Amino acid sequence: MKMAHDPALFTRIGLGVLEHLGSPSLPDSEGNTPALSGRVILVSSAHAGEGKSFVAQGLAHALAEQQEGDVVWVDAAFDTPLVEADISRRGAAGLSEIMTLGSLQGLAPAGWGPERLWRLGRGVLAQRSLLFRPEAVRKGLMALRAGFALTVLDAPSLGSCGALLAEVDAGVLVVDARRTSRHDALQALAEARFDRERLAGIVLNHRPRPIPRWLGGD
Amino acid sequence: MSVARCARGLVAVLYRRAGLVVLCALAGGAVSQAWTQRQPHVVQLGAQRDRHLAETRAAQLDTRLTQAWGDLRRTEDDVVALLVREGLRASGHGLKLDLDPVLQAGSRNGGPTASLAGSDTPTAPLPLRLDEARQPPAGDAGNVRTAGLELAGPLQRPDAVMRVNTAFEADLDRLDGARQLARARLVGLEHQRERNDLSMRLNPADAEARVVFETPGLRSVPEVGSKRFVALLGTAGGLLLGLLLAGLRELGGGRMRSPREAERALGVPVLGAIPTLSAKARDTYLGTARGALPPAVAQPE
Repeated sequence: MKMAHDPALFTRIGLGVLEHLGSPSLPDSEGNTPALSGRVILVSSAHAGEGKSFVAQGLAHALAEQQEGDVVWVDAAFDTPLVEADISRRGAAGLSEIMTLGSLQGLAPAGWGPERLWRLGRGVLAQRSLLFRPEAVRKGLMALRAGFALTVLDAPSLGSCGALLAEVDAGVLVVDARRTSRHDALQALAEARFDRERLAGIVLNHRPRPIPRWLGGD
Repeated sequence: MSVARCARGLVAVLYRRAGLVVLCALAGGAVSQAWTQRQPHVVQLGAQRDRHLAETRAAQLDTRLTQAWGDLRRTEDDVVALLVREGLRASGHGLKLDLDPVLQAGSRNGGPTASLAGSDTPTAPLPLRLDEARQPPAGDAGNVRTAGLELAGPLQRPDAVMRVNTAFEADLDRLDGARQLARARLVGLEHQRERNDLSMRLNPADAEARVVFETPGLRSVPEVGSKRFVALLGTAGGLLLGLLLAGLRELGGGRMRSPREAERALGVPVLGAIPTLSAKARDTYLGTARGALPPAVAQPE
């Protein structure tokens, strides 16, 4: 059965995330926005391959349309192989260079979606252990907060997020309805020690065909 | 668990896993159909039939051998009875029946020749006495007639003996022929039985090694009515199996299949639920065509 396209899907997800984040820091009396006011949203899952990248891209796209500031989608999935097929992008600087060297390089327009949407690759220094160094993580996110109103991190699975979990403002957990059991999701959240208060919500991916109401469905 | 909840679960299983259920039902029907259409193994059936034929033939040969033994014995008894009867009759007429050559002749082709040895003794001097009687009478003619009358009886006795002897030999020849036939039949049957036993004993696998090329005529498949029944039974079994598999797949694993289940399980709100999408549908959700996407976006995780 062909699934109906829901054009407001990511809009709703974005609204839910923004609602969880609350209102941004207000400008002062002179109209200056406080420094480091950007907020970071982490998109992760219990296991790899549950659809984090798709949700993160869609969420960044929706957030760029829903609010005024610039939005950057960042590839922070250091635990997965690089899928960069663009030869010109290979070897380019990215998040790992910001974390280690502090230089904000490798930033590029996303090329899709609104003009306020940017993209940042993982960089050539990306290593899984880099995410477990709080200083490096803090340095990288600080640079992103300074430059963008919203940063959407396409993060690795919860077990590999390391210090990212403590630094982000909100998290979105992607759950594959075909693969991930409630036990796996709860265990991953417990092991990652991610603060539930900062978890904005769940995105259920690969949802089974819903049962219509006339058949007694939800 | 209430009936309504069970019914709702069954509806959910049928709705979400209808493909699996239908596939299992079709598979069950196909398997049962193939089972009803199957042919018995030709070689195996042929070997079994050969073995059965050999055993049946052995039993038939045994029966026919017994009958042949009975026929031969009856024939022998008839021969003996004939010889005894003729011996008694010969002795009653003053004839001596020589049985030894008859019994010793056995199964020779000419059969036993009964000779009435006693018949030579009274007839041998008769010509001499007749010649004496035909001499010119030296005395009176009355003596000549008397002598003629006395000689008339003995002269007729060899003819009667010859007739009896001929009938006896005919009966004896007939019985001897019957005995020869019974013995030949017995010998033939014994020979066949020996060959049959030998082939079964020396090479027991020989019967099984034979191959029957034509389709066996034995009916070992169900009739048309029972074929339909078996096909329906297989379809129903496949349907039940499909329902069972679908139910296990649907209910097992503790997975979260609806936003409500996920929200209830994890205690956090569900921001959205995404169905399984094709690559084209994913592009539609992202609001752009795949060709316009940067490669990193075009090949997401």
